[in-house]
Amino acid sequence: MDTDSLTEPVLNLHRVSRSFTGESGDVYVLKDINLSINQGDFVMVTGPSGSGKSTLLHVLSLLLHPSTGEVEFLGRSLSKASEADLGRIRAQHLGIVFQHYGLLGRRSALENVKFRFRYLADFLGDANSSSVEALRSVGLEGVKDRPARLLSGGEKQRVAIARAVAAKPQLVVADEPTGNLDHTSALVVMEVLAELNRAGYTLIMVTHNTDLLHFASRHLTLTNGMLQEMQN
Amino acid sequence: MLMIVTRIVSALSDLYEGLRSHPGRYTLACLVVAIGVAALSILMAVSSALQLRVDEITNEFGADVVAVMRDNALTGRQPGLSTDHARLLQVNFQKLVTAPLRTFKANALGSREPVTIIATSEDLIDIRRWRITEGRGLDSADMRSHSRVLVVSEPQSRVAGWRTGMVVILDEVPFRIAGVISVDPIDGLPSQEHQENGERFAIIPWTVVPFWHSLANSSRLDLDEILIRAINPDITEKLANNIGRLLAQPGVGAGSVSIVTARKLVANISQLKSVILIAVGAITLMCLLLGAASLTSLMVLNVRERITEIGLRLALGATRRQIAALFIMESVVVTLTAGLVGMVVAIIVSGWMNQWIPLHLELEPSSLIMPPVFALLLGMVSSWWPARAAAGIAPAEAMRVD
Ligand SMILES: Nc1ncnc2c1ncn2[C@@H]1O[C@H](COP(=O)(O)OP(=O)(O)OP(=O)(O)O)[C@@H](O)[C@H]1O
Ligand SMILES: [Mg+2]
Repeated sequence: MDTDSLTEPVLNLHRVSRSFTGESGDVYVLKDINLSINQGDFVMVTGPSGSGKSTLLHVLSLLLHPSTGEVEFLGRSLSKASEADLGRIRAQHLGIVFQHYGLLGRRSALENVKFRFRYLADFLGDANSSSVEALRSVGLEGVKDRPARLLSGGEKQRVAIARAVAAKPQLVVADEPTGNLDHTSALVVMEVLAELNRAGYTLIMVTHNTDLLHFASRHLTLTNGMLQEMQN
Repeated sequence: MLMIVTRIVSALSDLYEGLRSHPGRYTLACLVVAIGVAALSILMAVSSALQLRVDEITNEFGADVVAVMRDNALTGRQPGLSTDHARLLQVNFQKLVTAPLRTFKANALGSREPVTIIATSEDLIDIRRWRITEGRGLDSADMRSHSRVLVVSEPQSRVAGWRTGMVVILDEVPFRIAGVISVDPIDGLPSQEHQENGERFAIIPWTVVPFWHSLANSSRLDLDEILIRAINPDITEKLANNIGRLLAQPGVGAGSVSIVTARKLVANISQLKSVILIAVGAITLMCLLLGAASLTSLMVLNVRERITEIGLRLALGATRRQIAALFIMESVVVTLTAGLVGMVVAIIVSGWMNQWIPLHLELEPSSLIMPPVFALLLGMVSSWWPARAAAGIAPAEAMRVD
């Protein structure tokens, strides 16, 4: 990581809206959102179900184009970026924890984490040891050879987190990464994320668990597609 | 280097994971395509065997040769075609070369098997385009003086050890070997009868037969056929008609004969060929279409079941092309396997068919390579649409699927 970029925003949303075409016309799920995520931020997003949190995270992880507005990643406007460019940025700089994990059921926990490197052409480290390390950091070293479909919900969630952080990405985007964990496991996972954050990584996550808010440096709420920064 | 290996390994593991999701169905689709491919191979082999037969006939028979054949050659000997008719044709078509033919067996002293003897004239070698490789052929002096000479085919010379200048005793009469002829077709087409005895024979002047054998009386020999060579292949049909008219005249007494040209024979085979091609072709086409259809539906199912995986791959930086390639590769592996299985089946079946049908099936490189290539294309075509659908999946939506 470049020290000059410490103050530079990793990600910038400028007047971003996102609508979906439904039966009764276009429905706006995200409305005129301005957001700047800086290097080293640990952002938590809360909000009621259906308020657009996952949609926001999809936009932030460059999986979904905004209907209007602009997304900037590391100072570069992505309005005109090709799909291949976006894919490359995701592979190189983003770690994504999906709400439904997105694990490959037949493959082992370790293989799932290693899958992170499948399309990462120029990873300098050793994919295998990075993956084992990531699994260890979420406390799953012992089940690394078990097929993902046989893991418990909480274990699956932790494998998903391990996969997101294995390549040490610039920005980790996590959709309810502790949603299926008991309190103790949730704290373990939060410690992993906090540790990453302390090491300089930028994180943004959605959670319903307000007990975890103290881990974050910023707290945003999303209500009806409108984003609001909470002051603590 | 290491990276390429890693890539190949991960691509292979993707393939393996994909294929083992529906082993039964993939095997079934593979089998259907394999049958189609085998049928295609055999179809091509049959087609080329028939073509070979056509070429052989044209070549051995001679495109410019008209044959007058005794119809009852198989059923028994009735008075009919004889050397008198050969003379009649010679007189009427003076510019053309004519050769009478009578084939029979004679016992050779010191040889266990009887030898096939063709009693003919000096022109047969010329008409048949045989090559003299040793000594000389028959000549008109042999005919005039009833010489007891024979000219042997190379296979006969090789098997019996008969060389030019030797004297052999045939049915108790000595014959001198005047020469050896090569019966290989001129353009080197492999003849299917090579290994068999069909190419082992000796020719003698027919005029010697009345002085040697009970087959003939003083000046006449019953014939199996008369060969006449036209000036060029284009007029063989016309010549055949003229010969037919001449022999049908009252008082000629040629008996019942068929007047055959290479073109007529070829026409018969071509007809057979198209019947076979249509029948086997229909089966082939059905198998391949069925295989392709089942593969397509399998791939559609496959894509539908793996939406999350596709979304994940896209999220992790896969390009749409890589997603499409994933599914096309899977399908191609199935059809290529089918291609290989089909090839093996074709080899086995054609070997088995060779024992039962009067046609020598040889799987040429082209009829072995074409079907797997075709299978490859089939794999690509049948997965094209599902692969495109997979490549078009929106990652954000895919990741919403539980
Ligand atoms: N592709 C789509 N087409 C139509 N509607 C969509 C689409 N994606 C999301 N939505 C709608 O957008 C709204 C916001 O969905 P989203 O998943 O972002 O909510 P959320 O805040 O993450 O909810 P939860 O807390 O339950 O996960 C929902 O009403 C959802 O139905
Ligand atoms: Mg959500």
